Amino acid sequence: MIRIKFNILLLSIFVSQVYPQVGLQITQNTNIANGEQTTSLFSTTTTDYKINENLFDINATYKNFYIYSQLEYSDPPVFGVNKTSGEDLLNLFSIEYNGIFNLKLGDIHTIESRGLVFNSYQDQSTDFDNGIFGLKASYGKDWFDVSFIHGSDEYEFRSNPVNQLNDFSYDHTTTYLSTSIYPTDNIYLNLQLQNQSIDISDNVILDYYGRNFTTMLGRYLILNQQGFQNDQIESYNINSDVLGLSLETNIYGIDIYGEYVKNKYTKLEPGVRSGQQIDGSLFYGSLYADVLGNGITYEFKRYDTPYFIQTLSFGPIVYREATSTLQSKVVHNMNFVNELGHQLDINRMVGDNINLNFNLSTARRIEPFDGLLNYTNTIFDSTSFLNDYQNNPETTISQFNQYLDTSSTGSILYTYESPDLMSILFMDEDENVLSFWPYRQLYLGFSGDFLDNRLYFSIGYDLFDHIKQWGSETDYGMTRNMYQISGVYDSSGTNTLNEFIDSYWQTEYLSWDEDAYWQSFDFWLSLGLDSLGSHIAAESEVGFNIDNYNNIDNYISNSQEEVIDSVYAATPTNSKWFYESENAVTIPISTAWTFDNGNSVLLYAEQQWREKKSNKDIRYISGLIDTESSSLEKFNEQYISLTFKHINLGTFTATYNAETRVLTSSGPRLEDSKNWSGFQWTYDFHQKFSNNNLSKYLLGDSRLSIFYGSQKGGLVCANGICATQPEFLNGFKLNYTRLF
Amino acid sequence: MIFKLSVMFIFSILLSSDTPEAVEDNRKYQLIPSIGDKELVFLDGKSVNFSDLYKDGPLLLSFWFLGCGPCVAEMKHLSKFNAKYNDTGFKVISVNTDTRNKGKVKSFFKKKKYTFDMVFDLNGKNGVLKKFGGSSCPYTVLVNTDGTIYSKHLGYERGDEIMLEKEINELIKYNKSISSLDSIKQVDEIKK
Repeated sequence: MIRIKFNILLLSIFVSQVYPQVGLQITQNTNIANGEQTTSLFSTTTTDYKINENLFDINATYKNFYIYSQLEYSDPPVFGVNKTSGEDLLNLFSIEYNGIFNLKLGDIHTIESRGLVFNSYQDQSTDFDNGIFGLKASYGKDWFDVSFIHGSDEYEFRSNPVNQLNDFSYDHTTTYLSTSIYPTDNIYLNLQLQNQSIDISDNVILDYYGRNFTTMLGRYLILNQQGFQNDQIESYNINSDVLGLSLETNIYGIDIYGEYVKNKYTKLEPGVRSGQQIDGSLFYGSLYADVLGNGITYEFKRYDTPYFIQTLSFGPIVYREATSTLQSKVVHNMNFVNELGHQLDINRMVGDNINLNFNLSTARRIEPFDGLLNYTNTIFDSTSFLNDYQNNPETTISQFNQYLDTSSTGSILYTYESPDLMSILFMDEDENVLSFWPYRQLYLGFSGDFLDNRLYFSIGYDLFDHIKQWGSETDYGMTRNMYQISGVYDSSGTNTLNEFIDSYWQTEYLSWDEDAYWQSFDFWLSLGLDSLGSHIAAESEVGFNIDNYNNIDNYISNSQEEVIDSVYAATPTNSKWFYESENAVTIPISTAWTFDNGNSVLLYAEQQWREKKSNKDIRYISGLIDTESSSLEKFNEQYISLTFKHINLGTFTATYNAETRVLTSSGPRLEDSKNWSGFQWTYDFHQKFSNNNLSKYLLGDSRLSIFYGSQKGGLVCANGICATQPEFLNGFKLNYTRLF
Repeated sequence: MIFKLSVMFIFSILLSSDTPEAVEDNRKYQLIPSIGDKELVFLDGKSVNFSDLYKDGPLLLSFWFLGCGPCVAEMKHLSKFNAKYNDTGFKVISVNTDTRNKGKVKSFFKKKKYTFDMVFDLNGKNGVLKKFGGSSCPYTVLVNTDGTIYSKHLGYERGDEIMLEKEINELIKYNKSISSLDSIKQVDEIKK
C-alpha cells in the first residue's frame, strides 16, 4: 500500500511539472538542534540533545482533484521515531475529489460536529495522530448533507508525556455515517451513527491501562489484574455503537448549540474477548449572547464513558488553554471519558481599542475514586481496668493496651456524593470534593492599542488550582482507620470510664485529711527543711498532693482526659490523606511600540508563583495531625523576553527565564534556583526578496530562525493532549520554513 | 526509494512554478487547491463556495486561532486594509482554525467589530490551511481573481503591516492588469 501511495505521489509531482494545469505546493519545515538536555528539572546530569527533523507537505491540485502528502526525514525528530529509510518517509497521504460530491481516500483527518463522536487530527507539536486510513464521501445540497467515513488504522500513543517515543498501540476500525438538515435558515440538525471496533492486546491493557491509576478503567484493571493475566486471551475487543444528535439555532439573539451522544460499548472483562455492553453518554452545550455590550459565552460538558478507550472521541475541552510560556507550566489533566465542566467567558470592549476578558473554568470527574474504610472492633475489659485503676491508676493507664481485645477487623470501600459547583469553585479541602479531581481557573485580562495603534499593552491575572492526583498505585486518596471499642460506653451512651474516674477521685478526695498534711509540713519545716522539702516530705507522708486537693475538679478532668488519650493512643482512629495538588498565580504583561518605518520593540514579562503539594497527612480523632510524610514545593518563576524587529536586519530576541524552588518536608529544607537564557535571530526572506526573481527563487517565501542558549523544558499541550519537551542547554536550534 | 524521491524532489523544485523562467508562463502563479463547499462556513453556518470569494476582486486569506497573539495583533491592520481597499474589489477573509470553541471565537470576533468577514475552517489546522501549504498561524495567502496564489506569508511581527500593505497594492495592481487583459481578449473575441 505504501509503495502505491508513494508512486501516486511521485507521479503527481512529475505530472505537475509537465502539465501546466496541475498546481503544486511544497512546504518544507526543518528543525535542527544541537546541545544538551536534562531529564528532570534541577538535575545536573546531562545528555546530548540532537535533532534533525524535516517535514515536507506536498499538495498537488488538478481541477477538482487534490493530492496531499507529508514526507518526513528525521534523524531524530523532536518526538517520535527516526524516519530515514524508504517506506518510513511517507507520513500522510490522501487523494480528494471535490465536485458534485466530495470523495477522499487516504489518511482521514476530520472533525464531525464538535468532535464528540469523530475527531481525527494530526499535531506535530505533541506527536499525536489518531487519523484513520480509509474513505470519506460526502454529498450536500443547500438544505441537507450526508457524510460517510470508513477506515482503520493503528493508533499509537506514549505511556508518559516525558517519553520521546510512542510505546503502545492498538488497531481500530470505524464506520461513520452522518446526516445534517437545515429546515430553516436558523436551525441545523445533525444525526450521527458510528460503529467502532478496537482490538487491543493484553500487554497494552495490563502494561498501560492497568498501570494508569488516575482513571476508573485503570483502577478496574488493577483490581482484575489476575483475571486478565490468567486467561488465555491475547487480544480483547471493544465494540462501540454510537448515536449522536445535535442542534444549532439562534433564539432571540442567543446562539445555542447542544450535542448529545449515546455510546453503548463493551467493557473489558477477563476471560472473554468482548465483554458485556454498557451505556455511556457525552453531552456538550454552548450558549452565546451579547448582553449589555458584553459578549457572554457559556459552555458545559459532561463526558461519561469511564470504561471506554477513546480513539476518535475528542470533544471540546471547555477550559481556557494556556497561551503564555508560564501559564503552560500548569495544565489541567483533561479526562475525555470521565469529566464534567463549565466555562464562562466574557468579552467587553471599552471604547474602540481596549478589550477586557474574563474567563472562569471549572471541571471535575463524574465518577470519583472510592475511599477506603478500615475498621477494627475492640472489646474493652472495663471491669479489670477499673479494679486495677483503684490500686494503681498511673500504671494502669500506661498499660491500657492490656485491657483491649480485638474482636474483628475488615475493610469496606465507600463512595462520595457529587459535590456542588460552589465547592469546586472554592476548592474545599474536603474528601467529598477532592476525590472528584476538581479544577478551577480564573483569568482576567486587559489589552489595548493606543496612539494610533503604535503602542500596545496587555496585562493578565491567572489563578489556577487543581488536584493533580488523588491516591496512588497502592494508596487510596482517603483511608479511614476506625476503631470501635465496646465496654467504654454503657447502653445509655454514658462514658463509664469518666463516670468511674469522677467517682473514684471524689471518694479519694473525701478521705484525704488536709490538716494531717499541714501538721506534717510544719513539722518538717521546724526541723530545718525549706518549704519545698517540707512539702515533698508531707505529701509523701499523707499520700496525696495538696495542689490536687485544692484543685480537685481540674485534677479529675485531667485524669479523665489522660484515660481517654490512652484509649485514643491504643485505638488511633484517623484519616490518612494521599493526594497531590497544584496551584499557581501567573501575571503576564506585554507592551510593544511600532515605529513609523516598520521597526518595532516588544517587551514580554511574566511572573508566576506556583505550589505543588504532596499531602500525606494523618489526622487523628484527637485533633493531632501528623505531617511527617507530606511535602510542599514552592516555585517562583520569571520569564522575560525583549524583541527588536528591524525591517532590514531581521528580528532579534533575548530571553531570560529564572526559577527558584523551595522544598519543605520533614527532611532538610531544600532551596534550588536555576536560570536559562538565549538569543534568537529570525529573518523573513519573503519581504526582502519578493521583487527579485533570482533571490526569490533561492530564498523567497522562507523564514529562518536561529536560537543559541538554553531553554527550560516543560509541557507542550494541544487540545488536551500533552507531551513534555526536555530542558535544552548550551546549544543552538535552527528552524527553517520554506513555502515553495 | 530515497534516491527516487530525491531526484523527483529536486526535479520539481527546478521546474516549480515560481522559477524565473516561469514568470512569462501562463503558470506565473500557483493554482489554488481544490476546496469543497462544506470545508469553510460563515459565522451563521452557511457554507462557503470558495470561488465566490475571489470572483469580484483579489483576496487576502488570513488563517488564525484564538490563542494566537500575533494573529490577533495582525487582524486590526487587516481590518483597516479591508476597509481602505474595498472599492477596488479587494477583500480580506479571516479563516479561523479553532474547531471546538466556536462560541468564544464568535464572541471575540463580534466584539472587535472587524470590517472583514470571518469563516470557520471545519477541519481546523488539518483543513484548508494545509491545502494552502500552511502548518501554523498566522498564515496569509493572497489570491488573484483568476484563482491563482499571488503570494503566501508565514508569521506576523509588529511593523510587518507596512510591507503587507505594499504587497496588497501590488496585488490590486496586478489583478487590474489581468482583468484589463481579459477585457481586451473578450473584445477581440467579439470582434472576431
